[in-house]
Amino acid sequence: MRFNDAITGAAFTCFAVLVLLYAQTFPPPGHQPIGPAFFPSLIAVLMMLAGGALMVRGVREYLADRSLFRGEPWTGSAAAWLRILMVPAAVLAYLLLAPQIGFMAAAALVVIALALQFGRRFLVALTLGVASASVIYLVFTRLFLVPLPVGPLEALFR
Amino acid sequence: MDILLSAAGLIFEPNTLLIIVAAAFFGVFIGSVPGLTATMATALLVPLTFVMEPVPAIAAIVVTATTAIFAGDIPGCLLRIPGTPASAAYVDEAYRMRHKGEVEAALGASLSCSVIGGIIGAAVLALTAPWLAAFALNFSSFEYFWLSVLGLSCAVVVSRAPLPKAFLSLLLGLFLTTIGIDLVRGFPRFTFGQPDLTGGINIIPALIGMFAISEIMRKAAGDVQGSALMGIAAPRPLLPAIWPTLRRYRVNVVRGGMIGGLIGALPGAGADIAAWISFAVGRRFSREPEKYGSGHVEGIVDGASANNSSVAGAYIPAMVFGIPGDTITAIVIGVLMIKGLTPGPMIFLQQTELVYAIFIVFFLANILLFGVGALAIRLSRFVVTVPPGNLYPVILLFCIVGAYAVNNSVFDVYVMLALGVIGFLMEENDFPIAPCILGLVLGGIVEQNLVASMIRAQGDLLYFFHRPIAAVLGVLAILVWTAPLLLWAWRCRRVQA
Repeated sequence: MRFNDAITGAAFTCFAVLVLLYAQTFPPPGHQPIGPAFFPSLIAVLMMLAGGALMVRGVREYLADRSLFRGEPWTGSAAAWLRILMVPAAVLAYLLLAPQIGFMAAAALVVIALALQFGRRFLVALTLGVASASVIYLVFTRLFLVPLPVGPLEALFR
Repeated sequence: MDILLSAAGLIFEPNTLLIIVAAAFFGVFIGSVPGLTATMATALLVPLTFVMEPVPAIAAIVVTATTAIFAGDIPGCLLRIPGTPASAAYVDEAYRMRHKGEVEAALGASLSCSVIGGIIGAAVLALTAPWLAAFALNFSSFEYFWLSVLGLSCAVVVSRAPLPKAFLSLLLGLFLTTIGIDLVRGFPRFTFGQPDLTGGINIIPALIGMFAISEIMRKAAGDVQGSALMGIAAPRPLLPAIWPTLRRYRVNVVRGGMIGGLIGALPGAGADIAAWISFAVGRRFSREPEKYGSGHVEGIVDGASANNSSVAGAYIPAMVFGIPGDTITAIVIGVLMIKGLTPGPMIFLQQTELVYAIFIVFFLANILLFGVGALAIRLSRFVVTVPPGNLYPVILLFCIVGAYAVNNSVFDVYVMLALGVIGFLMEENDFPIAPCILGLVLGGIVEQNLVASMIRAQGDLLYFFHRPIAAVLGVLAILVWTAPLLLWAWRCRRVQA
């Protein structure tokens, strides 16, 4: 999956302009030679130049092949897109669920859902989820003393 | 000598040795699973290092990286899928040898050359780093500024991506370091009033996101059904297959080891580039270059010795200047900083034992690799067939817990998620990740030394070339920037002529 370089170049350039504008609201350097705005502004200016160079490349590319997007074998498949989106969605789901239902339940759900999405059979996914959630919970809370979110299931291990 | 003994004492104690052996198996496993890189193995290891003392923590990372880089050759040979990018240079040679029924000869050569190359790299590290550190003690903010700029520039130039893309990736990494309280006046930059952002972006969750999350997303895109192993001959003894190769190509092994050590020391150039260059050099000087590409063991010798050597070479700039030589040492610097140790010439004076312990670990790791690697070759036919569907969900869970455990902060998990998605989009559009990571690690150092230098120079830019070493480094950095332009102009003239 690749967008024409003009599009990614323009995205970086826009971002750089926003950074540059925002950096101008920082307090002035006072009696020092440079202030808080100097380094971010320098980065933003260089980013605008590089983004511009990338846009030039992109326009040349477009004139040669007249396409703004180059797909891969999977970009046409809705199932593949769903599988990709499942990964960040799983992290988000964990972040929202864990404070409510505790680490083990949230972690097991996430692993089971992903394993099913990756084409594993239900029993395999279930075993994988339950085993990995409980092993990681015990190792991290007992051995490394990391306070993971506690829910009804974790209360059983007290 | 006393220091060497007490450094050895830090390593040869039951806990540390146990960690080292466990790390060796972990590295071999991750390396032999196609798609899981040595860097990812290191990133996954980071949460476990929080509870360790500095020496076992670094030892675990060194051993994991060493064994993972070798193990990457195993699926390369059996499936034609390099386990790590460092094996890509000679994957065709190994795969063709497999078709001739020479699995043991190919993997045996790869293992023995990895071990010898790794030991050469460790020797290069142990001999040059203390010498360079003594030299670097006199460095001021001017030298450090130019050195880090030079390192960042190298990372952009050696990247095989188009120049603007590598540069934009670097700038994005640098920008991310400006988020949070600024150094000069304590002003919160780009925090949008979020208290979580005032401390800045934490490096470790960012690394886990950019390497692991983006990789899982990429794997989810493709076909995730397990791949089959077909037509592999039954295992044969390993040692008889190794000796003739080593005797015949001893020059290649030493040359590959030296190339790997030097390339590894260049910031941004890691094991994969070392293998490519050593492979190309080997072919150039070979007595039978026509055999390259047809399953010729000499190519494996070149690449395997170089990529393992570069793992050690990357520690030279990382330990001496705090400038990572590759993505793995970028993580190592992050881990050391969490432990309250700032890499630089001072640790060679204040933490001499730690420094020597790292040297010893490198030798130990490579000796250990021989045994663990031989075992891995034996078991490889099972490991490479672990279905990715079993692996990636668990790795994702490990990433979440790992990013959280750095500071017990839920916000860090969001950082990991955001940078994972950005990393995925970047790699899909041919933006390399390594320059961004280097920018993220070095941004603070660059700005800090820039500010300190500017205050001392009172805004006079010529002052940046005032000290001799600073002047040399500055001119070198400017040459690195202008070299592509000069090359381009030269090519244009040649085309016209």
